[in-house]
Amino acid sequence: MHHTFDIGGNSHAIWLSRSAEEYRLTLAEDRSAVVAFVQTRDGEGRLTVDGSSEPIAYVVEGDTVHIHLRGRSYAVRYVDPLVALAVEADTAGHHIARAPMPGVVVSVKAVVGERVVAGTVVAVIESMKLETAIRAAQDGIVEKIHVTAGESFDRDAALVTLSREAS
Amino acid sequence: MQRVSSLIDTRDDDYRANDLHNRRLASELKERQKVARHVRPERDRERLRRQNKMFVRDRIEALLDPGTPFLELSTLAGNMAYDGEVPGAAQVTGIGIVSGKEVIVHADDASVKGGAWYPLSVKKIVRALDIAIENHLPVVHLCDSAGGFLPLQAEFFADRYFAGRIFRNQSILSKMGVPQVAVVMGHCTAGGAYIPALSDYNIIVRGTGAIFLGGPPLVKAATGEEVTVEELGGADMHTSVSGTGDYAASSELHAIAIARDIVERFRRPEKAGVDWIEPEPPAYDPEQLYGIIPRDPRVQFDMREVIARMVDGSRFHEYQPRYGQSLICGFARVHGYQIGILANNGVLFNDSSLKGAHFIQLCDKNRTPLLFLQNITGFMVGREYERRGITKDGAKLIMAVAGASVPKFTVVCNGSYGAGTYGMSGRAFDPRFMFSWPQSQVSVMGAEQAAGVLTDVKLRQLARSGLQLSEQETAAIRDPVLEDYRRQSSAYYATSEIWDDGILDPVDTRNAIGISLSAALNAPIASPHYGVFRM
Repeated sequence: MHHTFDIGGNSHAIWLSRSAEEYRLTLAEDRSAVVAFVQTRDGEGRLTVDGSSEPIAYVVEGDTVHIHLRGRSYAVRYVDPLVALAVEADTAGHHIARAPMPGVVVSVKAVVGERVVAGTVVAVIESMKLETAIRAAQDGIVEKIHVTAGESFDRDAALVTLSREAS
Repeated sequence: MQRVSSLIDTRDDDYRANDLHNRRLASELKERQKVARHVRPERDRERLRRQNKMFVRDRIEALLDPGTPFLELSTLAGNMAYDGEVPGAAQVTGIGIVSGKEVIVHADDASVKGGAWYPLSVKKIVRALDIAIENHLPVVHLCDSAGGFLPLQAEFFADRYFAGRIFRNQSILSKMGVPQVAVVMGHCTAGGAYIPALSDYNIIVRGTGAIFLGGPPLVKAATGEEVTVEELGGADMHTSVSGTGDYAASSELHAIAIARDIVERFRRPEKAGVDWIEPEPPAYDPEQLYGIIPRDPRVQFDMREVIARMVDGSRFHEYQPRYGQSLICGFARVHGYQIGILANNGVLFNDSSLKGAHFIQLCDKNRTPLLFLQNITGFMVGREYERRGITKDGAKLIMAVAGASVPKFTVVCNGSYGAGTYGMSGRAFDPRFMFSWPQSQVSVMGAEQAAGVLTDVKLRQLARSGLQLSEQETAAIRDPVLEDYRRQSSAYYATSEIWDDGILDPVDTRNAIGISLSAALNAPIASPHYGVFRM
């Protein structure tokens, strides 16, 4: 599988492999180039592509590298296939916040109709001497609250249902 | 490997309150450590100066390679024993770098009761030597002890893990080919005389160092013979006449220089082959741990947030993320070493126990050391769970934990209760190293529950003899029990009793685990083999 990078909204699939002395950058449609990079000082260096050499400046910010080359700036963002390819499959079953263990509802934090983001606390439960915050697994709107404070429930019971935002 | 995406909001009120609370706990820890390390009555300091002796901390500083880390172990041992008068149990132990080699340092602290061995001193020395055995680490002993503290001899002399174990462990190390150097900086009398004698190399400081089974007063009393310290067991006599000593040094610093020269010649051990790549710091700031750990220990938190602030690049490959979710299992790297992490996100159920046992075997098979992050109230109780075999599944987890051949490391992050302590590689399961966080608690059950049970028993006894107690009288029974129980469940009590290898400021955990991992790999890892899993 190629690495995928996003530059200005366009997706580029590439692969970097070792050749005898340098690196070979393989792009789609069987194009490839011999590349080398020498860092000259912090955030600066010389990039060589097929024999022609250019000075560049760069800043690394998480998965994005900002590159300054020939008077222009580019934001090159690494697209992690583990994230990019997982989106559809993973969110499908996550719109109901369920009880991780049997227990009692301490308080319900969510309000029907409220817009929540992933990580928002929708309810607090108590079980086996511990208080646990139940959080929204995704962004959405609170559609239904299945329990009230003081109510006891079994493991896997539905606590709060979120609807996906129409977008 | 995918980066953990944190859901923490650092502007949140709870986060800020936690941050304040945990920073206070961390600075309290640092303060208590500072006192245990450096604060001594002036008369003790004065006595050292008069004897021309260096303070133990200065000796260790001179011994270690400058600028290298020293992972001190059980700094607060004895902090809740002996009325707090024996800081560090009068011993300093730790892992440090001497002449480029990882070694265990064991040093008597003569500024505390003349370096007398209390029961916890003996426990601390035995533990340091156990670490040397388990991890094949050479040992440097800096000896300066007045001998055993006689009034408490029944608590440190005769039993299996008492003082004799020190000398047994020294002999086993020698048999294993793990070298030891002893530097005699004070009088090594009686049992203490065997530490240098059982070391492969020893150095005696001329004038202050001496080795003898009985000192001059004892000899006088026993046989009437009058003899000076130098004649009886001084550096020159032992290195030229008896052969008990190997090298005579003209000063403590000279002795330390000789010790460093000896360690330099030790064969560099072949490290056990585990996967290692270039390390990277966590993507999330470890200081955010202060805001994540709830100030109320009863409040649950997502251990992924903790993992994200401990591992390389905050990258975590979670194994079976949808199954047995109350136990998080997965792979990550700490300082470049691949490790398998088991972390509690709630009580242990049947499925989480099975998942843990399975994951441990998986890691054992591919030679991946295990890190346990404890926050566990126990295994789930109730009719349904017993019928599903919760005890049987817990037994599988315990079997896997006890049987794993790869090195294990345990950090008590918050609660550690009941059988959960066992299933998560508690002290009894021989993790190579075990650390606690300042607010963590260890006990057979929570303080409130235990005090309730104990009070109930008492009330029923009284009821049988026809007595009824008022609320106030009940409280009078209950409160002291609760108070005692809380005290004995605290991290400071656990570390006082050496149930762990020290309390860590949470932000230091990553480095402590890194040093521990590197040390653990000095010993080869046996092939996986297990007992019978009850299916």
